[in-house]
Amino acid sequence: MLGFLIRRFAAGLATLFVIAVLSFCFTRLAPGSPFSSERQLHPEIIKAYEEYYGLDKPIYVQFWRALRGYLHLDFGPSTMYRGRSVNEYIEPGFAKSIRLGLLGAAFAFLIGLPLGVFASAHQNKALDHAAMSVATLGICVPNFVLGPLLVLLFGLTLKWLPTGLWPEDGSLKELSKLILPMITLAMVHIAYISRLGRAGMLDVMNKDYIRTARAKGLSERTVYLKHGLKNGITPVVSYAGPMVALVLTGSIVVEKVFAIPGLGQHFINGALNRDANMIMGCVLVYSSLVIALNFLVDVAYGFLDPRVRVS
Amino acid sequence: MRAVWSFLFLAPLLASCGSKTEPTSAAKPVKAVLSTFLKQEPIPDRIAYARQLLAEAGYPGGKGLPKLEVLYNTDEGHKKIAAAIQQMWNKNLGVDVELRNSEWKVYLDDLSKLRYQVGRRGWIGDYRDPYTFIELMKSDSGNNNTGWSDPDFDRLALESGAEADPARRYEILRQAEAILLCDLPVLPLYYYVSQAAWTDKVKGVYQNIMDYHPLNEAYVEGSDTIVINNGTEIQALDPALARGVPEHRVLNAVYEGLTRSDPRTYDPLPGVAETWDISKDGKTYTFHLRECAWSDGKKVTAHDFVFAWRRILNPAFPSDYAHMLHVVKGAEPYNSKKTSDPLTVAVEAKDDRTFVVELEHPVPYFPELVTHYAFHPLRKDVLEKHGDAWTRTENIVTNGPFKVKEWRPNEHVLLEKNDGYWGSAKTKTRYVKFLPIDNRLTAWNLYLTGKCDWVTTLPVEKMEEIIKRPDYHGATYLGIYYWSFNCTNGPLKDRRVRKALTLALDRDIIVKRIALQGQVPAYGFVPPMFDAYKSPRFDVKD
Repeated sequence: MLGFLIRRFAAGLATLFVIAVLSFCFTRLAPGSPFSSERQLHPEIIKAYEEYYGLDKPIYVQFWRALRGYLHLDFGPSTMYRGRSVNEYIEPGFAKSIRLGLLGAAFAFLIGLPLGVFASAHQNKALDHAAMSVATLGICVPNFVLGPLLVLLFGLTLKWLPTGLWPEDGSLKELSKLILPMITLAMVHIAYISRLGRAGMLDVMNKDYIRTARAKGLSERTVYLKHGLKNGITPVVSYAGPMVALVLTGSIVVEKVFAIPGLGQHFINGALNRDANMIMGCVLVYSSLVIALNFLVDVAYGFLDPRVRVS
Repeated sequence: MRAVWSFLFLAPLLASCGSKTEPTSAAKPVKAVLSTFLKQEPIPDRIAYARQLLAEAGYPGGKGLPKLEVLYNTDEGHKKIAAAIQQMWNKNLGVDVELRNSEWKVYLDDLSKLRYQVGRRGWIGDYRDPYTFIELMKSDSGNNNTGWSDPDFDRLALESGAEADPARRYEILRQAEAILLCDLPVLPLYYYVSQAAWTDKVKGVYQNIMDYHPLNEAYVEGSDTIVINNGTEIQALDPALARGVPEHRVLNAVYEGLTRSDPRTYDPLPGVAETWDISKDGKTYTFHLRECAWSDGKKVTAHDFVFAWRRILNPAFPSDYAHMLHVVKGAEPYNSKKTSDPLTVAVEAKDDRTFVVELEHPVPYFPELVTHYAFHPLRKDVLEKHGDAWTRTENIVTNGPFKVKEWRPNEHVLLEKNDGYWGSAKTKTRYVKFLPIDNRLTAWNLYLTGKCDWVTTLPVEKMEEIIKRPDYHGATYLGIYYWSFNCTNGPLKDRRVRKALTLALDRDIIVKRIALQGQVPAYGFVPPMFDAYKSPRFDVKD
């Protein structure tokens, strides 16, 4: 088991290194300069900037310097926010993205799972069709459409909920700012989870041991929730790992629509302004997150299923 | 002098105006331009004349003219204008046009390296003087981006600096503009309007042609906070590192220069300087500082200005706006490493409350220029104590009507009234909160739901609806929206082709049906916003 873990961990680190090298090269290859603007700077000033940021050095020297920084979780100075470090932006941004992401993931489970179980219990009846139509719609409507639609309906027309910004404190009024972004973020996953849950339940409910349970004279509710559910939701559980990663990294659009000061905004602005350090910081944080989550899923599988450890 | 004559009368024989080398004297060409170009009435049928010019250039009905490529940065608004240009050139001149859009940084790269034929441009004046537009097209200007240069134009631009008489100075600038409009490396379309929306509860805010609103007296009725969407996260709180309008809003609220702007007229009012004397030759300014304090209680002195001005000019310290100080004697040589001695910059603290500046040449707009944050004072001891971290909320010391209370990256910048500010009796709001929302629709939604009192950028897709609202505030703005020609190769080297293309656009349609915000059609380059300055027009016969 330990060997398996070490192998997985090493593979994760190697992947991260490859990502770092490739992204670093791409940021240097991208056309346009971080110092160009509609008011062009004097070449001397651009030179001074390049010296300041070490951009005048050969690329391998730059990479080596950057890499040493990454090992200390230091992403260097930002070219976009002068006189400030990338860390000062990434840290608070990441903290917010994570909170919103986890909220979205929790909401997706809370709604998606009961919806799926409920639909399977009413297989091929009107309620099932209704639930699954909603789910299909959730998969089809992208979040950059769903977000503005929710804003239009609940924010501007009904005036029930705030249309954006991050809560200033922990009061309910402030926290309600997170409701619409949370729903927007969770919608597509609600859809997947409910469909997976429904399929899983239907599969399990035809198994022999369920028939046995029913034959024992247990109530339908007990059969469903006690015997069926445990095995029926396995597909949902295996979807959870990638989903959490998707939710945590997939909030870029949602952050834009709802003006949430998360990591995604820094990623976009960094790319648009050719802020290489900002881009690298975001790429490395995002990819570490995905790799770490995958590692955890692998570990969990390794415990659950011995066959995985060997392969 | 033959040069200017030649492109007035012999222009059809010349491929380009950029090839003149003969040394010229001042008086005569100027007269020539005035008598033939400046005094003519506009052509009644611009399009017919455009066709004629194109035919003279050897492309009758557009025949033989290779397909033109029009470059713009990706944006719905620019796209619509580009499409209109494409259609009008095709319909009026028979010219084939292809549109190309690029992402912002790629577009900037293409413009500066002249990898384009016709490109989208715009320019906002730095100060209220025609020179801010003339300077742009000098051959050594980094923002010219057309490959066009004209020795007479450069010479006039230079001469205008030495001229102490305001009327004569305007006349020289007008002649320079006439040369530009005769040669047309640029295609003027319209003069900008500024746009913003604020609720009827916002008081003490006025429109002016710089679209700049000092917050000294601004407040929201029934609230201690005014919430402004600033359009983007500010890049720096260090006046020497900042650039752009959003930074301007914040910096001018937390710092105060020698002068400050009148919220209604934008005219310079006494700031830290209570009064100032100007020497007879217009080159030496003596500012008499008032008794006023920094946010930590220490006195603001003339030394703080000397320190800040020399710092921004330090060539080792890359600053976007250092060039604004080049009017100060000795500033340019020091800033561009011709000398390494900061003491050669002619700024001096005669005593704690007397600040003397010597200028290279008379600058009539100098009192207005020093409202800009590039000229703000800084505290040497604070910068030395905290190093790079001096702009952190806990370290920063400022001298304006507000102080920095909190800066949460991408969330907000919160300012609080500075009770120690000399004019604080007039400051009516306790807090100013700047939001950094760049998605205009999101910002607009927050405005509609009362989360924001004032939005400085508006969503293009809602403009038609917004301009009808009573809380929409549009005003003429010191800026021009133009497109530029790459004058270095192909048929666009020929000024007749450029003139034909410039004439063949119906600016009224573009303004009324496409741009939609009450912009003013442009037939000149310097916006018609200076009383004594009458812009020449390009739509006259050669």
